[in-house]
Order: sequence, then structure tokens, then C-alpha cells
Amino acid sequence: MLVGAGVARVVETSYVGMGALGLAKNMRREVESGRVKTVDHSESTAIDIFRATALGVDFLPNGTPLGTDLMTYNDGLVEITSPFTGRKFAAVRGVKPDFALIHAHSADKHGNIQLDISNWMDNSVDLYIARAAEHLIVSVEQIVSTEYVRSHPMQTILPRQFVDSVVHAPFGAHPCCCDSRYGYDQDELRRYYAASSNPSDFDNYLQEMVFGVKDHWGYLDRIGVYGLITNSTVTSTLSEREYS
Amino acid sequence: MSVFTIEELIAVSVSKELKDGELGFIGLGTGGRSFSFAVGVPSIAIALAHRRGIDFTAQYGVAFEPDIENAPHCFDDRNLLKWSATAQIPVEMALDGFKRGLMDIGFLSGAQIDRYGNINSIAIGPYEKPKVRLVGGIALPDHAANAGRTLIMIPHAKRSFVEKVDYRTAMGFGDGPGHRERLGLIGGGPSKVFTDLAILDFEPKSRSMRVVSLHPGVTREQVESETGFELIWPDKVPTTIEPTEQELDWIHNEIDRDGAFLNGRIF
Repeated sequence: MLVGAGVARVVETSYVGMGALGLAKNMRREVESGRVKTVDHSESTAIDIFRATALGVDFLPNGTPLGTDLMTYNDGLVEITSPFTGRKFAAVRGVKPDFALIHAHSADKHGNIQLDISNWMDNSVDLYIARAAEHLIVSVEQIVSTEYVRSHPMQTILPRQFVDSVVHAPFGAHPCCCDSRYGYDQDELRRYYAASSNPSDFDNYLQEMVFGVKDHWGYLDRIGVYGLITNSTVTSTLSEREYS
Repeated sequence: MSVFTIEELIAVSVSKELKDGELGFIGLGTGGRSFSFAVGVPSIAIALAHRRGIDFTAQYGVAFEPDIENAPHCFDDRNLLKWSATAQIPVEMALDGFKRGLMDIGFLSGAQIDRYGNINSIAIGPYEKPKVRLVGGIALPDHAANAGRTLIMIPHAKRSFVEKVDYRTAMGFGDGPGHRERLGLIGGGPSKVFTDLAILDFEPKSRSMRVVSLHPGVTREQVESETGFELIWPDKVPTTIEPTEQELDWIHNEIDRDGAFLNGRIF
């Protein structure tokens, strides 16, 4: 969406796509025209750029990208030799973002961030991203009491000392999923996907869904209770026919 | 003669590559055909190997040994998290398995492949202003550099079987013999390539792609016209062994009852 809105100049990651819908069309258009630059990674090096900083080191050694064009075009991957064994690695440069934005399930008013247990493993990388950043903004589905947090301290993935700001944003991942709370809103994603086919349709989409609403609550009103509840909370079972 | 699909033929062929005690990693592909090649085929292959008494461990991202026979009908993240499995581990621990050399087999797919088994999933055409921008590296480089061996599933077409990949996302044998060794990569590199026309491997000396067998009814001319580089051919070209009735029965009636995996209907 940021690429489609023309506010991203460089995208650094290991995947941009629309899952089962296909390639991300805004990304295709802007990268293919040369307007947006890409810094490509493998999944492990895309994690290491944050993990290095979170661990307090400049880089992490990772043998994965050796010999690939990831190294040709990314100056954050440099071949080094282990002083201990002589083995070759790529030094993966740590990054320190000015801001990181992550989405979590709940927080108390002090900014202690909690995650539902079912997501602890699949969202483990979010914690490295959070700890690598200079400033951390966390949007959450729900505000809970400090008493609740104190009686479930294991569920706190980031204590308030790590967090700069909390935003209360129910359905804040919409139209994507916030696992354990709601799934993808497939109807809205298809609408988004169709709109991203060309700049003018996408501008119209942004006008309608982003610039044309007052705030997050206005956005939720625009989607409507039916869309939020039905599409997001009923498991999608799209058939081949619907997808072709 | 039994009736079978090309995906079934490939799944049965891949299952014969899997050995007892091995660990393999399956990433999550995208929809349609790429899903059935990258996720469906290895899933069925592993379930078939289990039925032959082979204890092969499947790791799907963060989940160990999920219940393949009862996969969620929709591969929505929420459903994947609830898929019955023996363990879920943190993402970085899942990927560290590659770096530590724990992964015996990587299952790969991509948009382009060349004679040395290098794969492209990033850009068709010049990188900085590509003709087609693809999804990105995903975990292909991790598989390719570090897995004991990789099995590649990719539809056969002239535009994807190219002399040199436009962007080398994943390291096969690189520029040719000795390249992986010079870099000290811990993985063994590409082992076999499974397409809708043939099974191929890499001739050990030249590290160049070689025909192992042609699928029933496929001609040499057909393969040559869909390949953008010169393949190595054996003197006598065998035909890929067809699935048995027992194997098809397992697939149809036990493993993939609704065709979700092999017909790519899972989304």
C-alpha cells in the first residue's frame, strides 16, 4: 500500500506478495518502472539484519547468500572469513530503524505488550524488529487492565520499557489477518487487489479507504460490521472456481 | 494401465527420494499450480514415504510433523497455526536449522532455472528495472545453500529453463564444477529436478543438467523444444516409472481425499 501510494522509495525484505491472490501489483508496477528500489534477502538474512542489532552487534555471519545475486546488489551482505576456522560467511549488516511498527493482541495503559499464546512462535521475528528500532510503536487489538497483565506476565512479549507508543486499533491488521483473533477479509483483499491493477484505480481506492475516512474508526465504519464480522471471523474456504 | 495425473506421477517419484530418518522443509508457495508443485507434491510424497515405513520428518515453516492427511482446507495463517502438529518452534529457530546443516532435503521451485540448477524467484530481466518483479528470495537461498540436497519441482517451459538465470536467487552449482566447494557451502546442492515432462539430475563431473527419464508419452523433441539450453542425454532414455494402483489408492482415498494438495485447491 505504501508503494502504491508513492511514499516508499526502497523496499528491503525477502517477500512481497499477495499470498494466494498472486504477485503484488503495486510492487510490480513501481519496481518494474525503476521508481522503487529493492534490497533483496533470503528469509534468514532478512531476520539477521534485525537480530544483529537486537543482540547488540554490527553484523551476523550467515553462509546462505554466498554465490548468489543477493550479494551482488545488496551492500549489506559482504563476504568475510571466520578468524577461527577459515570458513566463508556473508556478514549481514544490522539495521537500526528510526521507527518500527508492529501489531499485537493487547496492551495495558502503561504499554506492556501481550501476545496470545498461539502466535508466540510464528511471530517471534517481530520481537527482533521491535528491539532493533530506535522507537517502537505498537498497535493492539485490545486494551487490558494492568491487573490482567500482572497476573499473566508470561504473555508479555515486550515490557513497557521497550515501547514508545501504543495505538488502540481493533481490527488493526484488516484486511489482513491477526491470527487467533480474525483471519483475512478475502472480499476486501480482492477489492484491493483489483484496485492495485493501475494507478488511477488505486488512487481511488486510497481516496475511499484511507484519505476519505476521518480515522481508524471511520475506516472500520466504511468496511462495516458485516464485512468485519463475517469475512474476518468465518474461515474462508475458497474453491478453485472462485480463484480462477 | 492406470490413470494418473502428472502431479501424482511426480509426487510418487519424489517419494522414492526420501530416506528413513531424514528431515525436510516445506515452505508455503502461492496459489494454483505453483502451490501444487511447491507444497502439494512434497506433502504427498512424504505421506507416501510414511506408508512405506520411512520415518521422514516434515517441517512446514515453524510446525513439525503436521497431520498431512487432515490439512486445513484453506491455508489461511490462522488455520495453519491450528493444524495438528508435534511442535511449533520460533521462526528464527526454524531457519537456523538450515544454517546448522540439520536439513537433509529442501524442496524448491522458482520462475527460472539454468543448467547448473541455479534458481530465480526475484526478477525477470535486468534487476534494477525488471520486466517482471517476482515475490523475492523467500527461503530459497537457505534451502539451496544449506540443505543436504535439494529436490526441485518446476513446470517445464522454454521461458523457465534458461541458459543463465536473470537473477541468481538460489545457488545451484553456481558457475559450474567447484563453485560450491570454493565458497564452502555446507549443503550438497541440487539433486533432482521434477517437471511435467521429465526427471532430471546433474552429471557429477560437469554439474550440468542431465535427463534421467521421460514421463510416459513424452518425446525427446518435446523436452528439447521446452529447454533453453543443451541437456545431457543418456544413451538410452528410460521412461519414468508409473504410479502403482496401491500408490494411487493411497493418494485418492487416504492422503489427498479432496485433491486439495495436488489440484492446488487448498486456498
